[in-house]
Amino acid sequence: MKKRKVLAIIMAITLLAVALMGCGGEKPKEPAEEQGEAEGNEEQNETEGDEAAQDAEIDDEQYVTLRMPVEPQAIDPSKSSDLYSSDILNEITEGLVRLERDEDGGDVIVPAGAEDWEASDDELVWTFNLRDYEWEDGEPVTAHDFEYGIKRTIDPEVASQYAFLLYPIKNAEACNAGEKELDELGVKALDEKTLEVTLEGPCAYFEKLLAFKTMYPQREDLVEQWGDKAGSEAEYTISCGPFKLDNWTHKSELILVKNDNYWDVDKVKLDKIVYKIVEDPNTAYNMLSNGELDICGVSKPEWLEKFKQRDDMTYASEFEPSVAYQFFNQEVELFSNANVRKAFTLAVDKEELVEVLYYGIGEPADGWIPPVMKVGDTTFRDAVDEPLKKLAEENPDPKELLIKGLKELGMDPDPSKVTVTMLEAGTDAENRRFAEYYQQAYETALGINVEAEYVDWPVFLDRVQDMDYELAGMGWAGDYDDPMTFMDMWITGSEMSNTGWSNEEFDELIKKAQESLDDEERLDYFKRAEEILLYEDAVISPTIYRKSSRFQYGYVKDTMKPLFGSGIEFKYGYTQGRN
Amino acid sequence: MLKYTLKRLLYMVLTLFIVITITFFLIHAIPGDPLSSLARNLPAQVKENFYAKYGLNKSVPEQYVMFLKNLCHGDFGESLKFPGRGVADIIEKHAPISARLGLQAITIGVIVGIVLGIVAAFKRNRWPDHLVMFIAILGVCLPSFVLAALLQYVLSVKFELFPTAGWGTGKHTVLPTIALCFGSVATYARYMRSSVLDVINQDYILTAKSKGISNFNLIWKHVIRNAIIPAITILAPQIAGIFGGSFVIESIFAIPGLGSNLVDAVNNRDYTVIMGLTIFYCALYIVSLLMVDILYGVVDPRVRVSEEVAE
Repeated sequence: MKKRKVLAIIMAITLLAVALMGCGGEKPKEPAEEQGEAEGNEEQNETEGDEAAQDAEIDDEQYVTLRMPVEPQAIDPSKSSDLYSSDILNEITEGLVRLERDEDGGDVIVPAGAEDWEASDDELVWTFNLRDYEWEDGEPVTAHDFEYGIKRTIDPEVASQYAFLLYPIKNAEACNAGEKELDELGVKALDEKTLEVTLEGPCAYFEKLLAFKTMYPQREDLVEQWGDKAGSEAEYTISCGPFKLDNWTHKSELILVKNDNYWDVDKVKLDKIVYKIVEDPNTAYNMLSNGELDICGVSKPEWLEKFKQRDDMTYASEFEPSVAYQFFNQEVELFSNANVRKAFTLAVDKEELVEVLYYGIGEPADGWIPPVMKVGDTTFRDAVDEPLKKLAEENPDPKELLIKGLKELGMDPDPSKVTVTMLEAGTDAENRRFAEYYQQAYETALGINVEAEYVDWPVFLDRVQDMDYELAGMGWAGDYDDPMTFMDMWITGSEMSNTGWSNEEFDELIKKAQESLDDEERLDYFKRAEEILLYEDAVISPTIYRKSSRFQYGYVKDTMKPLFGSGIEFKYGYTQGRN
Repeated sequence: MLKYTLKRLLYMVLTLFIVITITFFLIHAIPGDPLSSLARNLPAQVKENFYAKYGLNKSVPEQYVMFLKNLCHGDFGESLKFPGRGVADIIEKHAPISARLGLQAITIGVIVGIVLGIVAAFKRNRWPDHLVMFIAILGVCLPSFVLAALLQYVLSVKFELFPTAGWGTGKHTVLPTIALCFGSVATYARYMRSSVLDVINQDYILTAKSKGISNFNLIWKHVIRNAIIPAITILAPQIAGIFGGSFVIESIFAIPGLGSNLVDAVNNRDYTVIMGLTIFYCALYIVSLLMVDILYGVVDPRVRVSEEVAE
């Protein structure tokens, strides 16, 4: 009797083990050749191929589900300031232009709501000719809608946080400060379909601001009817883009459906996009692995490894207009010396840092302007060498630089007597990992002592603004496709940076770049400015050019992620071969 | 009794007022402001417009007076982080979600816990008792988020029986409910076991037994009634917690409850939402304490008597 029981238990355990193993081992049994194909597919932007064949094969049910890590603020172009709202707005709105990504990963501006446009010879007056297209309720989109949208964003009472992106427009800054009436703003609807924008001064990158949400059309009648509620629920939004917002369960999901009233609806293949709001990354990765999500950003190393082994998924990692950097408070005696700052800049091995801290997502940054950003049509990084490479070549030993700097300051030249406190934004394990890495890097390369202080993000910002720190790190993401968005924050009195640094030549260069319309000239100004910022004065120490990192199932096709877009563009997307 | 109730109500309002005042000044004392959630620096003009719009450019006492004034009109204000969303709306939308989950968890937790506790007590030192105590220790030691992750991995990812996360159907609530109630099952089982043990050694139980009362009636009328009082005491904070939701569980299962709203609000320095939710929680807590006091009276006549004597 007893023997039989034991036997039964053993059998049960064996069965269970087999069952579990069966589950675990299911995935990688596909032949290796398919994997090769999957890897070749990394860039999902191929539009070539037989259109007819594609149409014949695409799935009957056209939908994608993806993760949105945070609840969007409001689907309102004037009031929202987060990426996730912009992401939705981009899918439901047809502004003057749309952004698409070319093969090199750079952005192209494609006419959309505006069929064409022209600028006066001095490029101060821009005239846009709108195409005939409609809002989802059948009302035509008019130049008045654009005029209203821009004015609403500038209106100080709306308190739009991105109003500053419209400051190149005539009187915009004064109107935003309440010093001038909104009627004096340089935006005018000449007739139903012609929009005229007058600029305050020359602005070489004005065209690159067109795709941003601050330039979107808005419906005056509806916005006024909705009042404060505008954009807070699905019913308080209206679409004129490829999709419309059908349902929004706060903190849970947003459902977009195809907008049949869209002028270019023939190109739109997806019927439905579901954004699942999932804050916990592990939950999201679980959902990706069992197919509840089709697309998901992935940044944790153990999951990266796991998903890379799956041959039904493709991996995409694209440059973002974003750089992580360390910066120094120059009001602290130690960091008032350029050689000391240079020593700190060179102390970090960025190749290793990208691998260790960012698990290989990103590229080591020896410059401040990230790759694939353009001046006019020229990619800046192709034309300009990274300044920190030169600095590293000339100074093989950062410790020597530090000692030199200490002597110049009249301080004790013994590095072991130097103690620096690094302020870290955030208090969780991840922040500890970051701060400890830098701590160890500085201590090893320079022989100094580094202490880390961890504070909440809001406290961090406060402390930095009050210049109450010694050394800190953060990131910067550009707003538009021109080096200016990375450069004008460093001019004297900009209020956007807090290092205590001021350099007349730099200020002069940025001013010239602002006034010039000549791409080549501007490229030279920026080149010199970057050299001052990093090579001569070592104001900041860029560490990595950030990249995105996401997996999607192979059946999701023709999606793209423009550099200065806010998320994935689904206008041309479709699925093919979903089970 | 009326006088007593009025007194209790007055104390409740006073407590609420004190909590509101302290919270208001505390959240304005911590560094950072609602704009910092943007994670970037902004031009001064843009910031000024934002502060002016929400009255953040005024001094804190002025803001306090303004806040109280609006509150007296029943106006909780609008979220600073999510424009267009009234704080009252947020509570109205998200509290029922937390409440449903919490109610499910607490009902199952209390019932299963109490039954297990009684079984354990009557089968003292035999295998059912050991099993219950094992579950209880596991329930106390195993944090709910570990259990949640485990359930998610096994039941959703491996066997695809339940959705991994999200909200909408009853199926979505199964895993979070299990994760949430496991702890209370353990707690109630332990409380119930020890108080039942206490009770069954009393003389009146012996008397009842010798009268020949049926087992069911013995447990129902004599044992549970007397043993449940400690369990009711720990029920009070849990009732308030029902609406609060569990931030961790809500986050793991992507449930749009109130818990994640509060944590987000604190992180974003969304002052109006923090205040609104604090008032809501505080009021709930006070009310549930009152409810428990009333419940005591229902279960235990001795409490009723002593109150009347006090009057």
